[in-house]
Amino acid sequence: MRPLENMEQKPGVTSGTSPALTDSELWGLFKKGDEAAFKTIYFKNYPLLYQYALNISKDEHVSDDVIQDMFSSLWHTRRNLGVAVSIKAYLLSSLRRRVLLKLKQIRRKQVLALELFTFNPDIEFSPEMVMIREEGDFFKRSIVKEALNQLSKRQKEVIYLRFYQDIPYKEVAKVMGINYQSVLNYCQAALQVLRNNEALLRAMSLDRYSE
Amino acid sequence: MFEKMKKIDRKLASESFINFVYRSNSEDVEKWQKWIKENPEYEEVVERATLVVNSLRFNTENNNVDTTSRHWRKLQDRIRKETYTNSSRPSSIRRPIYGLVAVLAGVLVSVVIWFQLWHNPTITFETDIAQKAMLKLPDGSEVTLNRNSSIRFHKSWDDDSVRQVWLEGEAHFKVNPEKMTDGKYRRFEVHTEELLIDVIGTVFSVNTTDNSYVVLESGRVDIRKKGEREVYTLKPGQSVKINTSGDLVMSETNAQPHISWIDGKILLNDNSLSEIIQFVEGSYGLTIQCDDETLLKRKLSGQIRLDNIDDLLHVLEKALDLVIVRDQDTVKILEIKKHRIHVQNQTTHVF
Repeated sequence: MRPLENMEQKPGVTSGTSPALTDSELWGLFKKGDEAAFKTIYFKNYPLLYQYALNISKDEHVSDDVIQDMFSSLWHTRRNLGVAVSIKAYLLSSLRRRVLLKLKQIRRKQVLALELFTFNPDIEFSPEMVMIREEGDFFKRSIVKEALNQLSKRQKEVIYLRFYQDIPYKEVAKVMGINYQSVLNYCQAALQVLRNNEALLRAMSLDRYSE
Repeated sequence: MFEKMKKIDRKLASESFINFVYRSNSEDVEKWQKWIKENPEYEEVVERATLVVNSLRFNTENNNVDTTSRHWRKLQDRIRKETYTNSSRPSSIRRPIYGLVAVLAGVLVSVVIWFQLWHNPTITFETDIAQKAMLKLPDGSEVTLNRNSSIRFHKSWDDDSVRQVWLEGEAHFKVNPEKMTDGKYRRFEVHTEELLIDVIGTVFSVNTTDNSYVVLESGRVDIRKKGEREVYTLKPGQSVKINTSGDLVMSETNAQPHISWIDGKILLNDNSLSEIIQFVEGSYGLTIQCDDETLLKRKLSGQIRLDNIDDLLHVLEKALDLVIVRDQDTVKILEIKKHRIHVQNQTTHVF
């Protein structure tokens, strides 16, 4: 719709959605069937969700399928959904569950049933993900990547969600389905390991001094 | 000493420290600068921690918009299909125990099926405000159920001498003629709250919202008001309507156009804005306000896609040169001359 400027404008109602909407307002509109709100949610979150699905599954088809399934079922079941304070965290946790389920289904055929119940995502960092001021310094990126990939599965996931997906610890806990204190513990341990990685520190201090 | 180090580890992993390193919160920056000054013995570990947190900046800009848009369109198509055909989404089996549940469900289903051989239960199918559905009746005849409608029929018509359905709302029927063993055609009856429609094989629409009407496309139907004896026989192109005093009135469809909504479009045939408003209100559950009598008499012909209410309103707005303001479930229609001041660009979202 085309809003008139001199008319009182309620958020999201006339002009679809404005970026000023809070997550819960946007979510509320979406739950009421506002397609513009749905589209906004999709476009805002798709790239990072795709990366997440890809990082867990390492399979583009699986990632595509799972995200489609998720958004389509979100739309169909929107009336029954709860309140989302952080849409991103909500989507990440739903996606995580779906990807793991899908992987279980795929692997069920190949692996012993025992492993299914202890199945955790294993994120692998790639040099491309690492951001270093000096673009194209593949060597430094590789060092960072190496350092991160030496962390434990859980530590990697906490670091990935907190820093790559950029969601606060509280939501990391929700996404991973573990408690807040465990998230902090994993992260503390991870950072401590990294602080003792001399190669990483050297690469990073070079990066900083070359500013 | 160990306890103290533990505490420092915790501090250096806190949200506030991350904010300090990324300079994303001035309060935290000041707080940490002060803390470092007061605790020079930790300078080195803070330095290291800063380098580490800095190494955790990631490159998330490598996704292009095209891919997102392409996937969005795919998603739209899929949702549209699922909404229209009401096909159940594939639900995955979650845990091995669900296998057992599935088996039990299977047993239950067979019991139900066995039970149904003795009973002939009624099936009710409903659509909500954003949904249309195509369904096949037990004899293979097709029904397109419009938004906010419901239809009821026996699950099996094998033992029924007449094919019967009960309708609320609006539906479009394609009825297959069916010969019985004695050479006669088996009748097909549509029951609505007010009408009884009797057909053999034909294509027609029934609307029971507001003023009930029946429009015939091909074949022949007999209509009678419930509780009355007089039968009206419709020929193709004719329609019958219940007027405000409750009587049946027959007319040529062309003379008195109705709004058809088959195939995800409304077909307008010189319909007035007030008719369109009535249709849109009924289909989308909106309240539309328009006080201007002359506007209400403006007429429009053509096709409008109706899967998205905002697009539909937008087309009306353009075609009739109106200003339409939507606020949740209330829509106001205003004339453009008086009110056009600044009109912002609109982002259309089609699906």
